[in-house]
Amino acid sequence: MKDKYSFVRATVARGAPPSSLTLRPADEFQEKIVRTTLLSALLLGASAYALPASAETDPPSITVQSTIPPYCSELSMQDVTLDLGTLTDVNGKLVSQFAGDDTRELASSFYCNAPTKVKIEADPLMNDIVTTVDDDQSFTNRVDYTAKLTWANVTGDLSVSSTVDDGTEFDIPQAQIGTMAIEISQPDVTGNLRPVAGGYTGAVRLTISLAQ
Amino acid sequence: MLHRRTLLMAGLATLAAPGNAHANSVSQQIDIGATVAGACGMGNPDDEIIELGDLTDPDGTLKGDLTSASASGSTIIPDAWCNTPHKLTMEATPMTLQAPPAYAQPSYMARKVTYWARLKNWSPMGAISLRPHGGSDQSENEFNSALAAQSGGLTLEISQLETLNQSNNEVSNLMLEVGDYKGTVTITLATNP
Repeated sequence: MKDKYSFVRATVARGAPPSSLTLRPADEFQEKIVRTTLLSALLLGASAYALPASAETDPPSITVQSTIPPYCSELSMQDVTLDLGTLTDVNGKLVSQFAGDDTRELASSFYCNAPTKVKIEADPLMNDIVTTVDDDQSFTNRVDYTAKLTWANVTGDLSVSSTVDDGTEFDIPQAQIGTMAIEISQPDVTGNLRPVAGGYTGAVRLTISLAQ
Repeated sequence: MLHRRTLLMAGLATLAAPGNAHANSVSQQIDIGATVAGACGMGNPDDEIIELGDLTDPDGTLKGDLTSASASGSTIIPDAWCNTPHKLTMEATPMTLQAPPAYAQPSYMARKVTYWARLKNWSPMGAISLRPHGGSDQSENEFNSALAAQSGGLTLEISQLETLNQSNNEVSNLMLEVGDYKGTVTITLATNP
């Protein structure tokens, strides 16, 4: 943003205005000095601060320039953890939707004042203990899911499956401000295998960077 | 004017300076957790009764084909699984005359028949077998990982029948007393934390 201002100003010597001066004979010399000073000041003002319409030279100007840098507010949440609950039904098969807490608001008013790139990486849910499944024709130690980000008025689908290595980056073409939330959904296992028993841990990493 | 310019410059510096509320890149990690409870399951057997038919030859002793090693009867228990370390227990009772006569069992007669109960397609190390003689025969097998029935399904086979005397010892060629004979094989899968 760029703005220009011109200031024209005449300054009168301090003290009472000339019309209020009381002149006495003894003060004639002083009066002369005052008048000379006033005249000089007016002449100086006329030459130095003349109006553009009557000036032959460019008026002095002061350019006030300001730049708004692109930035985003910060996500200040600590230790965000979602407990998705039990992954299996009575038959030991994967549930069709998570039973537990699958949505979390990350910020009520997150904003970026410029276009941004949003990268979402989703690590699958892996069994905390069983690193190798002996009967891998029947069981698995990995459960995949879809992580979906919603932010303000972004209309695109900001979803990433945990089957995608290194995640996906999305372009947000304009500034946004509003609620940001993450949702975990669509549990999935390869080949409809049964997940082995135990605790499962995964993570979603969200990075929002200015596009420029 | 100097004062105003100073203020403007100060304002610009404030906007440009990095602060806690502004960033060029922000990130957040969301940890997710879930659980799978240890459990086992089994479907209903295809045949809940393995019918062996008439046990005897014309001479009243066990049919020769029932005493062979080949299976005389079988059933499949579908969709058996345990998603955690577990214990498979197989209990069996001899086939016993259901309505024994009131008189004492003669030494040359049999009122019980033993057999091999073989459970296939569960253990990677082979079939689990049990040959019952008394009243509390069982085979207990622990497995330290998740298992499900292998291709073909969990299969129970009955083979190699033999008559038992009064002391529940195997004695060949005893004559079977007339009537219905019934034995029971019970298979239990249980988590074994």
